[in-house]
Amino acid sequence: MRRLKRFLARAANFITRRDDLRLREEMEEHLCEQAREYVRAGMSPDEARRQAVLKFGAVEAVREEYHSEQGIPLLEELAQDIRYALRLLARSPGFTITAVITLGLGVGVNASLFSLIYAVGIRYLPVKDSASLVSIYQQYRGQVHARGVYGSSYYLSYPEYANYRDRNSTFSGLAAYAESGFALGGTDPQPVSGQLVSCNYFSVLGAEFSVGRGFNSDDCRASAAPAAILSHRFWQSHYGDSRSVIGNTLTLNGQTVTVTGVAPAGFSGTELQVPDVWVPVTAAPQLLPITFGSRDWLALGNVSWLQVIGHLKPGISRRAARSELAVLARQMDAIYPGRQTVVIVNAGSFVNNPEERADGLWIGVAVFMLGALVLTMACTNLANLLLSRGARRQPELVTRLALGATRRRLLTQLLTENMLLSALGGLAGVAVMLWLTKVIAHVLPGMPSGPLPLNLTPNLATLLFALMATLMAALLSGVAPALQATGPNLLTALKEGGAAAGHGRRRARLRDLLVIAQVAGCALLLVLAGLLARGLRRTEIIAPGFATQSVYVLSFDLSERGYAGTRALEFARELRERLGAFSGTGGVASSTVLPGISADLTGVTIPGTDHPEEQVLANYVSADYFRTMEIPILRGHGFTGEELHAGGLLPALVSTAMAQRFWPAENPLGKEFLGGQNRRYQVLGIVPNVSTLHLGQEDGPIFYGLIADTGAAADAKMFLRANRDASSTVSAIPVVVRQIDPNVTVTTESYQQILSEQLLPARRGAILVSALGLLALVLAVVGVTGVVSLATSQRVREICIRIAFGARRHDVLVLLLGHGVKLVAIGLVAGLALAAGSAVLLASNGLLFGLSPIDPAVFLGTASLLFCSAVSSMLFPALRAIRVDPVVALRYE
Amino acid sequence: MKDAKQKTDVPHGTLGLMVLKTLDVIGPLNGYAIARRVEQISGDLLTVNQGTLYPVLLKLEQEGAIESEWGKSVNNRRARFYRVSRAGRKLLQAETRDWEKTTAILGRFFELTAEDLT
Repeated sequence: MRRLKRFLARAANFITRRDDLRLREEMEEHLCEQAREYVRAGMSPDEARRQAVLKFGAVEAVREEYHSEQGIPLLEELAQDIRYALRLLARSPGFTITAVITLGLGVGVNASLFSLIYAVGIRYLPVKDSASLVSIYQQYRGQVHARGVYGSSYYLSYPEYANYRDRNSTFSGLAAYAESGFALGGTDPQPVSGQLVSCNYFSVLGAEFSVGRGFNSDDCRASAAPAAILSHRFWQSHYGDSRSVIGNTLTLNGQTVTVTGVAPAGFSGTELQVPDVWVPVTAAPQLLPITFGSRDWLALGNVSWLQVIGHLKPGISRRAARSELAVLARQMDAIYPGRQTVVIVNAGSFVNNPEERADGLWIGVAVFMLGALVLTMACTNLANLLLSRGARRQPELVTRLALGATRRRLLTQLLTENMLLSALGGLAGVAVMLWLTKVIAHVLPGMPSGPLPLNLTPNLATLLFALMATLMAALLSGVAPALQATGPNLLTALKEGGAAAGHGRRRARLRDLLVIAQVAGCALLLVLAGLLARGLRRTEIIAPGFATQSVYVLSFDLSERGYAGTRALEFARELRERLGAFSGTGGVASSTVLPGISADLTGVTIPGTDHPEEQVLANYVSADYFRTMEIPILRGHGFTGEELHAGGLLPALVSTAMAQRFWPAENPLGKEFLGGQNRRYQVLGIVPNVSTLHLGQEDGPIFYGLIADTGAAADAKMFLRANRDASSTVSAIPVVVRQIDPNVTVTTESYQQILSEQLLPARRGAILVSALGLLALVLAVVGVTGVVSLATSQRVREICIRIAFGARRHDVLVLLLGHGVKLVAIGLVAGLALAAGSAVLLASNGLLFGLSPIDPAVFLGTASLLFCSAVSSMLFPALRAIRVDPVVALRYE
Repeated sequence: MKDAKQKTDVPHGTLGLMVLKTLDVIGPLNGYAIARRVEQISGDLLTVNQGTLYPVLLKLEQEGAIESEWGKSVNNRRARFYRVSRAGRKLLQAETRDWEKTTAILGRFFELTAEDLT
C-alpha cells in the first residue's frame, strides 16, 4: 500500500515534470535559520552563513537525491535516451529514411503474405455470424463403391446433403453449392462465373435483399423456369444500379432465366471466386445439360459434387455437430456394405476443404520461407547500416566512455536508438501491408470476377504478426552492431585517438559475411523467378505437338455404372461413331491420358537382344487419335482398325525419340518389342515427339498402343475436335450419350481450359517470386553500396598516401573494388548453388515445364545482372574516393 | 579524529523513523526544526548531513506517512511544516514494535555468557 502510494506519487511527478522549487525554498529557509542560530552564538554573519552551508552538506547531492526520490529515474533515463535518439535520427535523415524503408519493406512484405494466408485459410468468411459458420466434408474408409467425383472427393451428393439438412438438430441451417461457369448472352456469349446453390443458400448466410428477393420454394421446383440472383458487382456493371432489372430475363447457356434479386453490396459468397450469378441447383439440368442433363443428379447418392456449409445453433460445438452428422452418415453407409463415412466439420474459412488445406499448408510454408528470406535480407541491410554507423560514431562513444558513461549505459543508448528505428520501421511495415495486400488481392491472376473477397482489414492477429516480425528484425539487426560498437575494442580506439576506429577486424568480417549472405539470398530469389518465368514461357512458345484449339475432353462415370472390358470398349466405339457422324466434328478419339498433363510409364524390352528393360512413356488410344489430335504420321502408317489382335502381334506407333533409342541404325518399321505387361508389339509407324508428360517439354521415348488391346477402357477419356459450329456439336454430346445409355453421366470440358488451369500454380508462383526477387535486388544493391562506401571512406587516408606516393588512380580503384568484387563473387556462387538445389525441387514438382533446373540462360543472366548491379553500385563510392585531392584530405587528417 | 569516534553515522533507513517519532511527539515542525530536534535528542551523537533530511521527508510524504503545508516560521518567513498522518502513526507503531523486538533479541545475545549454552 505504502509502496503503491509512493509509486503513484512518483509517477504523477514524473508525468507533470515537477521541479524542485519547493526544495530550494526549504533549503534557503533552513540555511537562514541555521545562520541566525550561529549569529546568535556570536559568529559574524559571513562566517555563520559559511558554517550553515557546511553543516547542511553537499547541496547538489541533496538535490539529486531529492530528484531521484521525486520521479522514476529509470524512466527518466529512457526518456532521455529516446530524446537523444530522436535528435540523432533527425540529424541524419539519409540513414533514418534508408533504415525505415528497408525495415518497412521487409516487415510489410511478410505481414502482407501473412494476412493473405490468414485471410484465405484461417479468417472466418466475410458473412453474417461467421463465427458459427462451418463447412462439412466427407471422407470414406473401408470399401469405397466407385464414387463419382466432380471437384473434390470430399464433396457431398445431393441426397447426402438433404439427409443432413432435414434430420439434424445442431444446425440452424445447412446450405449446399457447386461452382460452375456460364455463357452469358445469345449471340457472342461472354463467360461469367456462377454457382448452383440450394434454395436456402442466401437465408443461411444471412444475406438481406434490398433489390428483389432470394430464392423461394417456387424457384426451386424441378420444373420451374430458371431463376437467377445477380452479384452486386455484376448488377452495377451490367445494369447500372437499375432496380428495374428484377423480372428481366437474361440468357445463360442459351436458356432464358429470370432475375429475381440482386445480392447485397457486401455479399461475396463463400468462395474465392465471387460468382456473377447464382441459380438454384434444381435448374442445373436445364442450364447445364452437357454436365447435368444426362442423369437426375439430385437423386444420385454416390457422387461428390456439392460443398456444404451451415450455421451451428448457439452453444453447439463443432464436435457435437460432427458426432450427430456421423450418426446420420452411418445410416447412409448401410446402403453401401463395407463403407464407413467420416464426417469432417471445419471452421468456415475460405480454404476449408481438407484436401486444399493440406496443399495450402505446404504452399503457405513455402511462401513464408521466401518471405523470411526477404526479411533476413532487410535485417542484413539494417545490420550493415548500423555497423557502419557504429563505426562512424566511435569517436563520440569513446568520448562519452572517457567522460564516465558506463558501457551498459552506452549499450542501452544504442539499443534504444535501434528500438526507435524498429518502431518506425514497423509502422512503415504496417503501412506497406495495408497497401500491398490490396494490390495483391486485385492483381492476383486467374480471378476474372474482380478483387478477391478477402477480409484484409488488419486485426489483432495480423498486427501481432507485424509486431513479432519487427521485434525479430530489431533483435537480428540491432544487437550485434550495438555490442560491437560498445565492445572492448572501444578502449583501444580511445588510445588511438578515434582515428583508426572502425578498423576492427571482427567488425569487418561480420560486414563481409552480411554482404555475402545478401548477395546469395538475392541470387536465389532471382534464379527461381527466372526459372519459373522461362518455364511458363516455354508452355506458350513451344507447340505441344497436338491440337488444343476447339478440342473438348469428355469424361464418363463408366466404371461406376458397371462398365468394364469389352462393354466399355463397345460403348466408346459406338459413341465415337455417332459423334463422328456430326458435320461439325473434326475428329473424335479415345485416350487413356490427357497429353500435356500426364502419361503412363511402362517397361519395354526388345526380344532377342540383351537390351535391359527400360521405362518409357505409353498412351493407349483409339485408332483415330492421331487424326483427331492432328499428329502427323512420319513413316509407315497409323492404326487401321479397332479389331482385337488376341494372340498375335499388336500394332504400335512409336515416337522418333523411341525409334532412335531402340533402333538407332535400323529401320524401326516392323520391329518388335515387349511393353506393358509383356504384350508383343510391332512397330507400325513413326510419329513426331510431342509434349505428353509436361507442357513445354518434349517427351522421351513414347509408344502408342490401342486401348482395345489393353482391355482397360472404362477410365479412358474421349477427345472431340470441333471443326465449326462447336457449340451445337458439344451440346449434342449428352443427348447422344443418353441415347446409348441413359445411366451414364458425361462431363465436357474445353481442353485449353484444362491446360491453362494446370499452369495456374506456376503462374502465381512466378509472379510472387519475381516480385520478391526484385525487392531482394534493390535491398542487395543498397546493402552493397552502403558497405563499400563505408569501407572506402575509412580508407581515405590510405588512398591519399598511396596517391601522394605516386600510385595511379586506376590501381587504387582496382584495390578498392577488389575486396567487394570478391565478396559478391562468393555470395553469387553460394546463391547459385542454393538455387540449383531448389530448382531441382521445382522441376520434380513439374513447375518448370521441361526447363532444365540449371538453365544456363537464367543462371548466367542472374549472375551477370547481380554482378553488374553490385559492381556498379560499388563503383560510385570508389570513384568518389579516388577523386579526393590528397593534399586537402591529408591536411584535414 | 577522536571526535569522529564518538559520533555515529545514522544507520540506513532509521532517519525516517526518527523523523516520524519526533513529529509524533512534538507536533508539526519545519525541516530545520526537525533536524535540530534529531540532533538534540541524540545528544549530538549522530552526525546528520542536515541536507539528507529533505529526500527522506519527501519519501515519507510520498508514502503518505506525513503531510506538509506552508506556514510561518519563527522569523516570520514562509516555511514548509510537516506533521504525522494517521497512516504515519500506524507505521510508527508497527516500526517501533519491530525495532523493540529486534533490539530485545539482540540484547539477549549480548547478555549471552558461556554458561548459558552449556
